[in-house]
Amino acid sequence: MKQKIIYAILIIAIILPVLLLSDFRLSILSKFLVFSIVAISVNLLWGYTGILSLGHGAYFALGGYAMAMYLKLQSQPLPDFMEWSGIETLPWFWKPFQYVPFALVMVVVLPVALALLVGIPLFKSGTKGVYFTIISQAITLIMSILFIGQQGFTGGSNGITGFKGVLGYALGDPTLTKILYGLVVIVLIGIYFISKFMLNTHGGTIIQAIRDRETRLRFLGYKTHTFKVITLATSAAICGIAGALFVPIVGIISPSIMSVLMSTEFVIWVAIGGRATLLGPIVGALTINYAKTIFSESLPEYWWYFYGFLFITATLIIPKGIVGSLLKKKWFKNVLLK
Amino acid sequence: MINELQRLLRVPNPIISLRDVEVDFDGYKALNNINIDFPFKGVQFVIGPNGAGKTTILDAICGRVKTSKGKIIYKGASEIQNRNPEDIVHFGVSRKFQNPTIFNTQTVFENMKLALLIGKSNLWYLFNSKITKEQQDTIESTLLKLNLLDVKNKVSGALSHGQKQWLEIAMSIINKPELLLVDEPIAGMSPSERDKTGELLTQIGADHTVFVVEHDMKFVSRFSSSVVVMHEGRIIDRGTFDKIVNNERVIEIYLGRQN
Repeated sequence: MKQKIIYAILIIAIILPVLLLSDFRLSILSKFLVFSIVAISVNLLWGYTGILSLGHGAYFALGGYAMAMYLKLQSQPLPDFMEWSGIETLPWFWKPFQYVPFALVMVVVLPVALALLVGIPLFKSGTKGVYFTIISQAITLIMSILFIGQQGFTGGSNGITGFKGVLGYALGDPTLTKILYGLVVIVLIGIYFISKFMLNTHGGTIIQAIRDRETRLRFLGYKTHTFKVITLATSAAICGIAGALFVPIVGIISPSIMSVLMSTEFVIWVAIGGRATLLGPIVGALTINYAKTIFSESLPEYWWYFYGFLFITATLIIPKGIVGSLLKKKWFKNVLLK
Repeated sequence: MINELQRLLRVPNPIISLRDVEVDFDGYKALNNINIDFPFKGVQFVIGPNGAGKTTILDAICGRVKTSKGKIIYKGASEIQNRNPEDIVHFGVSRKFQNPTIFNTQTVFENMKLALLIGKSNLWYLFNSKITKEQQDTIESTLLKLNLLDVKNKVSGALSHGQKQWLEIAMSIINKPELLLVDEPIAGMSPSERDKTGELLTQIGADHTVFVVEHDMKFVSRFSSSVVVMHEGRIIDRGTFDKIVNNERVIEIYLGRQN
């Protein structure tokens, strides 16, 4: 019975924005939901496996660029920025991106490939804790420099934009906004339940044991680095999917998404929402981004001060995050779990 | 005297043999030319003053420290020195650490599950969340052996110190290792817990080789059949407790200092 009520409330909560919000606001909400997916991917790695990555922007961008390349080729046979850089024929690695299936596969394959490239040597050699974090940060920085530098192939610091449309609709078409909102909601719910299922399996127990005491696990005979690589790759794949959804909603992908600041924000959403809780990342991403919008509309110059203040107080007062703290309350548990 | 000791350190058909093993910590030789065999089955105690290299022997066998020289031969066939810990485990070597090393946020049962599942060769278990009736029975019978069945659903971080130690022992023996390495199991335990632990190690020693580092002389005298004495990275003597306490060298370097 209670479960039915929760589902009913959830469905209303999903439909209501479509009816009440303007297209502009609905599109912003879709963007926030995309960020929730990013937060889930960061939480999987940091909250459950104990590996802090400050470079998830790189995986997000790879998914986003794969989608943007497809959308760009739908709009122009030769992207405008290539012309500006004097490139007259489409480079070979751009060509397959005119096909949807290829682009969609690359949305996952590219981030996973980078995750394996980073994860296998680092985890195999036993790189841990803050060392991994610093290297992850360096990698997103390198990626952004690479993308800015290769203007002719990537659109440089402007990124890729100027898409004609998606799925036959012009960008900003009210119907498209609603379709994309629906798509993001479905993907978010799907990823939520898949990660919930995965965390309940033996594999999920093992990655949480890595977080709690990796040494014991190794001396029980587990090759923990393999599990860490798999988790990083899964997290990267989810992040890449989020990046691909981001592009048609916002209409642009640029190297700014690979900034260290952006990747740090991902982590802050998780920290404030509730690390190692399933709902925490979603709550965190929505709350912070909503607050950010309100602030930047009224007092834009104070947002970053407020952000810093919020992060410090949140870690001091509610170290377990919003959801983590609520889970300690009996009534909340009763509502949610029984 | 030297030849006599060498004879004592050899056993026929050993489960594990250390040959000229040396562990070097930046010039400090924690183990210096260690040569010793361990028989199949039985409890082997190791004593010695601080810094004698007792724990380092365990660490070298289970892959926690690298050896700089020598060989560690498992069952006369495989050289296991300087391999990864996770590989050595699969030869049948299990390690119990000095401080309780368990997964504090998980329940006792989940801890045991993690220890048991590594025996699985089929990786599909990773996508499963259930275990078989048989596995459940294995976990419960092991927990029963260690008096932990009543607390199987308790979060392991909330257990008493003694129970945590037992849980780790339970995790170490659930996959039936041939060689169990135990580092100071009774530190911080109450007298009744000590007795229980001693009986337990004796029981395990009936089927497995148990290698125990211990400080507590009363405990060693009660539960040991064979004792190795170490000093400054070398082995000084091996024999029954009564024999080694009468060795003048041992009295001088170890027991004498305590009295």
